[in-house]
Amino acid sequence: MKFAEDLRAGNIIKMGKDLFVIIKAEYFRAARSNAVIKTKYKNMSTGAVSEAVLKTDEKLDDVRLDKRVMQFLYESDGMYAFMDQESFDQIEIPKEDLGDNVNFIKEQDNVDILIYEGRPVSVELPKAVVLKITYTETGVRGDTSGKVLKPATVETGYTVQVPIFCNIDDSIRIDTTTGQYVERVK
Amino acid sequence: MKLKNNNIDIFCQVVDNFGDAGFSFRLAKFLKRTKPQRQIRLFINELKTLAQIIPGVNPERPMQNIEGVDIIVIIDQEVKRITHLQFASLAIESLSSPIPEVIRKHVHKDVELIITLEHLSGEKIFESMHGLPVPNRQGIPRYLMAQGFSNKSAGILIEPNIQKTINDVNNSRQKWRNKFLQPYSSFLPSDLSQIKMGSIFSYEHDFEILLTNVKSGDDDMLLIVLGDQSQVSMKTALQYEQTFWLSEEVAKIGNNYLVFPELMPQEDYDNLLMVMDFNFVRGEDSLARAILSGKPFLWHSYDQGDNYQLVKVEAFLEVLIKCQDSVQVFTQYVQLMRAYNWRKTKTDNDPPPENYFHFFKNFATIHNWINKLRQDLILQGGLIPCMEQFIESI
Repeated sequence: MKFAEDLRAGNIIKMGKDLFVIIKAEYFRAARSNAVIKTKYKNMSTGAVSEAVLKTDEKLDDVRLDKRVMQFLYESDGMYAFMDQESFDQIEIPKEDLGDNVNFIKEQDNVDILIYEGRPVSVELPKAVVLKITYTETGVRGDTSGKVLKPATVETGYTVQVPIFCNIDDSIRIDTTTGQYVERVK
Repeated sequence: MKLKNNNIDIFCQVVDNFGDAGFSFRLAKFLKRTKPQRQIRLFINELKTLAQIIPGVNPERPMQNIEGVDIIVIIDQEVKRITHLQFASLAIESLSSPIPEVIRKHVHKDVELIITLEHLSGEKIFESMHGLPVPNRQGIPRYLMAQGFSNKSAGILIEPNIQKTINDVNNSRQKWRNKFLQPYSSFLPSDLSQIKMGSIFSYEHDFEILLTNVKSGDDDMLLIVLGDQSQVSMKTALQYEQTFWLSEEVAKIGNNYLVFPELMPQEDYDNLLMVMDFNFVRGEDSLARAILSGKPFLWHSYDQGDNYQLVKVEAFLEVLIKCQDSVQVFTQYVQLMRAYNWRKTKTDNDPPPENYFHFFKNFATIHNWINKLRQDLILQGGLIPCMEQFIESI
């Protein structure tokens, strides 16, 4: 049994008899009650994509999944190709099933692929990843508080708000759950 | 969706303060008034809070009927009896209060639909969740309704015949003022017509600057300070002023008076907001009531740690900006609202400057904005019609 607050893109959950892959998970802090999570998910049997809200303290049934470390090779026509590091078998996963995770993986990265009943269904990322900034406007001197933010594009093409002191070629840590900047990595 | 019956069970978990219990009872009462023939039950985890603001509530009685609402306390000794009840077709998780675990396994036989009703917020992400399903292990259809300010949300909780209530209270403004001030009349000037009157209901706050501004402002003022946190904060600030205590409940600084009454019933508070010249309110339920009062107000948002409450404040200001007609006054109002809601955190210790002069000088202008927002929200229909339409649509 796990709680909804642990959910993030790529997770597989069971509701009723059906399995769903989480495509997107956004947290919202309510005034006094527990946070809620807005999720977008895909029914693994029918392919139907829906949205729902989960309470963070909602208990979810465990789904038994196998994991295999694979290397991300390339993306083509909305399909992401990965290669098993032991057998060198290649598999493909639709971009849609990877959800927001596509923002955080780049070619040559080794990632955990989730396998359900022999079928690759999604990818599981660490809580945070380090990516290099490929473009951002030059910051203005003077602000070191980290409160003033500006957009920055990282090597996967993802755009994230970063403190104004971050520059091109800086490596930054990004939280894969929230998609937000965590810190600059030296 | 056609439900088998019109009855509604509302579940409320009192977390702290008065907002949870107060809002849930208000919702129950208004639902009953909308369709008097239906049974409305409020299941609540404690009654001491409600008893302080709703006349007639006995905190010792596990079951009672107040204003047509059956109130049932969920305590261990009563659970067996409660689970034998027939539940209504519609269950509302008020302010996201979960249906208690002990009851949850019994409701599926009767409940056809659960509405998870969230707190009032102007945040866009919150609006985007309005109407979405909230899956649950019982398999009962459950949907989230998000209270908010736009027609993409569920609106705010508004009583039936709100316009009549507004007219009635406005027509008897002096009567209501007299009612609130009568116990203290021997300590107050006989002619209060030139004095600006305001109510203050807040979380903990340092009111030193407010008092300094009140003392040196153009108008003499009378402040009615309500609730433990406001009263303690205000009395602390008064220690730094030359204060004359005329009685235990009435203080005077300069030509200004401060009155410290006991907590008043919910409906009296609603009327108080309407007959004051301005109000300081706290929490979401009072925010809605302050808007419906049509009077200028400052909102104290619930402290969420790390100053996250400022996000809620900004979201509300984004709503109000559409009603404003003076950029200069609005900018000053925004600055004050931000400063008033700022809390000291581990990383943020420098309070932004508070300046109440602009607020005090521009009551008429701000009054117009709040009135416009009130009219817009009344025209939208409010939470109860929205809920009824939503249920029909699923």
